[in-house]
Amino acid sequence: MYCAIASLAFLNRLPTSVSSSSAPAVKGDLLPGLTNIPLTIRWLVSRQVGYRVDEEEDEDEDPAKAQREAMVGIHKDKFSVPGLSLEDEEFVGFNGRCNKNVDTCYTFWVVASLDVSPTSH
Amino acid sequence: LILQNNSNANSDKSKMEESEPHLDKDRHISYWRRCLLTLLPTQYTSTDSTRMLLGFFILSALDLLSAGPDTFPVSQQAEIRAWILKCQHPHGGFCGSPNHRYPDGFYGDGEDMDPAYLPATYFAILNLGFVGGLEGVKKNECLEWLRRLQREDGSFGGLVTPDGKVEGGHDMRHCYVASAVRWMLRGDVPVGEEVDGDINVEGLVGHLRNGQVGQPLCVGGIEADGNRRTMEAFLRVHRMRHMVSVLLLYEANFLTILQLVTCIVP
Repeated sequence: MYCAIASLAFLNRLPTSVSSSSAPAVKGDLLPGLTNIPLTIRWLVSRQVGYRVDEEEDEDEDPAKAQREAMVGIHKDKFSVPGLSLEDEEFVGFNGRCNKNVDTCYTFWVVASLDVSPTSH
Repeated sequence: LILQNNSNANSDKSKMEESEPHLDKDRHISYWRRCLLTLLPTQYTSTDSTRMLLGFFILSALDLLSAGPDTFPVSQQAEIRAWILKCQHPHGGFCGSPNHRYPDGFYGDGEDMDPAYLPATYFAILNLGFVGGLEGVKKNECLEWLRRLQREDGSFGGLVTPDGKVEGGHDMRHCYVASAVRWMLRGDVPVGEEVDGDINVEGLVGHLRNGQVGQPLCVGGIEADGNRRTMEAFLRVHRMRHMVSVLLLYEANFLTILQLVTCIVP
């Protein structure tokens, strides 16, 4: 997703503002690169997931355990509702897709995509 | 008692500071300099073909640590520059290591063996930005070569064979890298303006649009993750940091591959 949005930025095909909830304005009769910016932004922001570090588990944590668990559908993290305060000891990260665990690199991709995107968020 | 308490408090504070994670900047700089100036660590032997990328890791890391190439002696900057330029093929693209650059006469009308590679070209241009800019780059040849990497569906591959076949997989990363190379070499092209010898911009935009799905974006089979006129402008931090980011994409790990598979095969 980052690559797609950033490509459109290099091609000057991201509008500078969101003119409507659906098709953004683009010069002439050219098609916009993104068809629904608000929905795209919403999808990106919805990648925020709250999580809590379990120190006891971390002591002998198998580095590949989380990956294996994610593959078979076990997800420890829960979705974070924007605007609500976090519980004690809770952190927020980003995942790359629904029902996935948070991951530092996805945090980077999501925030970078939002940064390039043509609206405030 | 007050003094003792203060002393204890200072001691606690000191212990807390010691236990707090911190960035050991000097050791990081030392490590990257060691990678720049000597043979790479053993674990990197198998990556000899992608030294252009490793070079960018080194130069950009040092830059982020305020010990970048602009602090190097002029002679060292010139050596790095010459090394990068030596990797440009006669047809315009760059390879990832001088080991993949034969004498000009070898290439003829095309590149059968060890052809130039799009990501290597991207990193070569970024690296040149650290050591003086794009002077000496065969820009026109590179842009012409870039155009030949585009498929009819608007997407880009990583390399092109002498008979014009585009190879390297359908990969959104190639579209990003191609857009970036075009932007760095050609500068900003106003919307709707056609330039002779340019890539098919509308084709590429169409390909990007087609990658959108109901839950945006699952783009081109890849998971939904997550006139700049002068080189100086190009190096402005806000864009540079996005350039750096794509490096992580090329660090394909096991999980990423599995994620790709799960996206391609629902």
